Amino acid sequence: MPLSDADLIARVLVFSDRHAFSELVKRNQSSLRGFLRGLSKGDHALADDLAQETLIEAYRSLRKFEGGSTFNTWLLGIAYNRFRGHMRRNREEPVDMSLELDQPSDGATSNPHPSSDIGQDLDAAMATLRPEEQVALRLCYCEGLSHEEAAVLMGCPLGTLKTHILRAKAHLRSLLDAYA
Amino acid sequence: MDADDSKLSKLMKSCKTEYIEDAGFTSRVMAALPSDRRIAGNRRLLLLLASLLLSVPLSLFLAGPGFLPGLLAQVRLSIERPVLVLPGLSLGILPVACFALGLVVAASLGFGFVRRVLR
Repeated sequence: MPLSDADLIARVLVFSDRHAFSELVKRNQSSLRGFLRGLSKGDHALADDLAQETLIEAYRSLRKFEGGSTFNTWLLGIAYNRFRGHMRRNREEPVDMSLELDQPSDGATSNPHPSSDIGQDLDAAMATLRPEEQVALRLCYCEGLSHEEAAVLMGCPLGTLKTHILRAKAHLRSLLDAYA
Repeated sequence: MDADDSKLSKLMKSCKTEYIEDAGFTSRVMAALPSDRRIAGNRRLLLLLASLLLSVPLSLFLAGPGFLPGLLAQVRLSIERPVLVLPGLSLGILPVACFALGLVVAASLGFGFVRRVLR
């Protein structure tokens, strides 16, 4: 029977079991890298670098994990802070909200026809959101966190989080309706 | 508006990020991890002990050449003539307390200095 995340974390803390941490990384790498790829608009190299930094920080700060949320959620919180730090250092421009739904983020030739897959359209639409709005939506809908949990993870007031979600959903509706 | 919101919410909840193959990512992370936490803990203990050992001769040196004979004389006196009265007891214990305090301060300073140097 495979060990739970809590058991693996205990093994890392008590026995400095690196194999246990390796197992934690394997279980959470896909979710973490996917989350960061969404924030970095498809820049896979940047997302993987940030994911690696996130996991190293998680290893160093493992004692601070209190178990109030899942380990994956805790990782996403660290990842979001890492991403914000990266944005501040690089002083990137805010996401262009007028970016069309079918414009790929990697700079390849744009496809004038919308995708027939609504999931891909949703992913592309979410990539046009501001990072904090995208994170708020992902945490509350894709990761299943409550608004309160997501607000704590993002380090913002509950009202601010709800505003992010409202604005993000309004923008998504307008983009998705354009291709309905 | 409510129906659209409900539809969007359902769509959002059904979103599943495509699985990303590991492709060596975990190995790279493990290679980049800091050294063993247990070894780091032992290193801290060794530094503390080394600082403590270094602080003993340093404290004696700073206290002056007559300190150690005087301290031993005080301790011998306290044993030969045990003092039960509080003021007498505090006189006898004073050099010992100062010495112990000096040890603690020197060890703390030394430990902090060595940590900064080795970081």
